[in-house]
Amino acid sequence: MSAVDHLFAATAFAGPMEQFEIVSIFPFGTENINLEFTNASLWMLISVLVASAFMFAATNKAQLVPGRMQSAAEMLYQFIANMLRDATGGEGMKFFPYIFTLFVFIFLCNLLGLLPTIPGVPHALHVFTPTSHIIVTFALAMVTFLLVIITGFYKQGFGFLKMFVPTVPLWLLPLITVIEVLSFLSRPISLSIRLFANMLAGHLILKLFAGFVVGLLAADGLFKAIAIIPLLGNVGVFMLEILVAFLQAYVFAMLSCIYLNDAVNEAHH
Amino acid sequence: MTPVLLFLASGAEAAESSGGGLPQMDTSTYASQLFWLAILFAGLYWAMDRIFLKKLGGIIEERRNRLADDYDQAAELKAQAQDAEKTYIQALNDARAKASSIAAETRTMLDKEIAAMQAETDAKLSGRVQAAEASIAEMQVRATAKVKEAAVETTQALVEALIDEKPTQDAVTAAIAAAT
Amino acid sequence: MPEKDDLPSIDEYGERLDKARPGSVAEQLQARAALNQSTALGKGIRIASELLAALLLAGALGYGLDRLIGTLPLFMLIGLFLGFAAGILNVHRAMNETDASLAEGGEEE
Repeated sequence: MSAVDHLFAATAFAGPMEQFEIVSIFPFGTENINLEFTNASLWMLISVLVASAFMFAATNKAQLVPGRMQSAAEMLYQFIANMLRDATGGEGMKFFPYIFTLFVFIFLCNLLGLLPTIPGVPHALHVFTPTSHIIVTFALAMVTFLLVIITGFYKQGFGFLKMFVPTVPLWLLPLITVIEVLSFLSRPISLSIRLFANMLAGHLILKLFAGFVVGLLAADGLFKAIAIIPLLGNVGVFMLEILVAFLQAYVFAMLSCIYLNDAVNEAHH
Repeated sequence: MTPVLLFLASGAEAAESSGGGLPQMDTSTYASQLFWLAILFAGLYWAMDRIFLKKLGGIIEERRNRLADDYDQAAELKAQAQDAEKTYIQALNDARAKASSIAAETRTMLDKEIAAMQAETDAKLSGRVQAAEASIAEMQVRATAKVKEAAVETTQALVEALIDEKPTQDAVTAAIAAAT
Repeated sequence: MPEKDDLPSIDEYGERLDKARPGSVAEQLQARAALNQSTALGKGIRIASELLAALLLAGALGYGLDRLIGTLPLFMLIGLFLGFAAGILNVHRAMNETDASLAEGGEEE
């Protein structure tokens, strides 16, 4: 087996869906509930550790004249703070730690999942993107969703329900209200589908192109030369996916801010 | 068989072998995923909220205050400088105004003095002129009298020489007066 | 004797002072994020997710109701219909959000 064949076997043959498979690392939980620590858990843990390490490095010796790390962290701080303030007008600033954590966590999960897997390591250690799983994105969206509902009723009481009653002719009101409620309830679903689908699509495309490259390289003569095309394509897609990793984290956090605005400020229809 | 086809086939196989669907739809993994997500996300939230963001926010706040103070101070100094400038310009203008008023006063005073001196001199001069005129007039009168006297004597002498008879002074005087 | 021409340096200084007052660095970052163009795929996923979410939710609710009272296709169809309307509303809102709050450019994916 040549080196190329080896690589081929290790990556491409695994199939485009292999990268999303959950593999147990150590078992945990009861007989009824399986809470094993998996590759998904591992990459969430790595994201959390990277985030913590970054924030620790940035704030450990925090100074009035910031160093490089501190500058980056402060920029991120201002970035998120501005986003939240723009969306909620300052009313929602108590959610700042939540939105900050949400953004950093999603961004790092997205980004670290783009790292290339070292060929030959056990399956459990293959690079994995936790946010490519709908259950993870849905859970995160539900946190925002429940925060909105709880805060909304807490701050506005039943006045919160006014957001479902727009000013329309009376005969239209029941229909519109039902539609508004459906629209509201579909928020966490669309939020989670969007992030999940972006991650899924990005990784599928990367994997498919990589498969083409490997496949063509394994072929004879002219095919080897053609392999440059999907390779270049993959470089482009990879760059794009780094951008998407950031943008999707941004959009998720941004929409969370906008939804939280409904909770802290009365609706204007 | 080309590797590309092999690859595609293997992909389809893998998809089938993992329960005929996406790994994402495998609900048996959900509990574990949610459990670890909850723990790790909550942990990160706690660390951000209690440690990192507090520190970072604190330092940003401190810097903002410090900068604001510095800017306020600078602005105050600027205002002071502007005040000083205003005062200076005010003083300058006052001094200019005072100087010009003093100059004007001095000028009018001098003008007055000059006028007075001129008037005095004029008066003195005109007095002298009058005196001179008077003396001239007197001299003229006197000269006229002398001329008349001389005329009388000359006439007497002429008449005496002509007719050997000396006319009286009165007659000659009357004759001359009648002639002139 | 210093004339008035020497003095505008105070104003110049004031201008410099105003310029030095910090605008936030984060604003620049935000502007940069706004500059990024969205991908066609991102836009597609965006619209699809908004529409699909409402359709799925309303359809599932209708289906659940049908199963409960045994009227099978009725409420599911009504649900799908309403879900479609809600989905359109979602897409409409999403586009407005892109314009208004998501700020000056298609950074939305």
